[in-house]
Amino acid sequence: MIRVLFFAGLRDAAQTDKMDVDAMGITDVRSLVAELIRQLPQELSDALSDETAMVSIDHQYAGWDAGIVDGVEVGFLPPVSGG
Amino acid sequence: MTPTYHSYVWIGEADFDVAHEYRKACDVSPHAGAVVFFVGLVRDLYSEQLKGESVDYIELQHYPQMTESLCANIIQQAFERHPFDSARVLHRVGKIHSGEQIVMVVVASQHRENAFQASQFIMDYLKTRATFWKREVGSRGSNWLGVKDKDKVAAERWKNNDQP
Repeated sequence: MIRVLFFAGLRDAAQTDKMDVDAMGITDVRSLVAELIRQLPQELSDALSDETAMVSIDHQYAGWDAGIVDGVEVGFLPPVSGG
Repeated sequence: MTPTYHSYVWIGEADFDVAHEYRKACDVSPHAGAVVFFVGLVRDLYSEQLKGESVDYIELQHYPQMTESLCANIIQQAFERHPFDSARVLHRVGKIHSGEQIVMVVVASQHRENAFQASQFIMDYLKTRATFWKREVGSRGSNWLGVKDKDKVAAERWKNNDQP
């Protein structure tokens, strides 16, 4: 399983804060996104399509080209706005 | 011997006490000759995205498993550029009203220059790297804020020079 977390506007778009995705057939961030788009509302597809969200894998920033293996936690992070 | 520093990161919903944090910074930095601290407040908000209505409060979300280590990493990067004796970062999450404290950075060093520079570096990187998200909430809805261009510019300027 791959644990997926959504934050801020992406959480609203996904209508959930987290979900578990079967790792079968998922090799990288883009193939994971394709699976998420299949399962989640259209709003999430719209929000992720321009790839402006940042991605984390096991709590480290990663790129959209990064590989994904079974058991990792992937975060989809909109541009941050703390401070 | 590798130079070391004292680092403290706190993220939570409660308000923080500036005087207490100042005293703690002094306690853990007995050789410091300068303490610089910055406190960020929630401004009296008025949102264009919410069609000009005033904002009742802001709400801050974060990614707990990432935020603390990112803040510690930002402190480490600041230390490598402008060594100091100690640095503290306190950042609130949850619901925060206009006029309330939201963030505090305290840097204690032997001389003032490093304390000023390091605290500014930490704030610039906090705003553009740390996994916090802010939402304005008004009576007609809410709006997530993205990183501001001026904050990106503020963080970028550290890439080429040690001085902002």
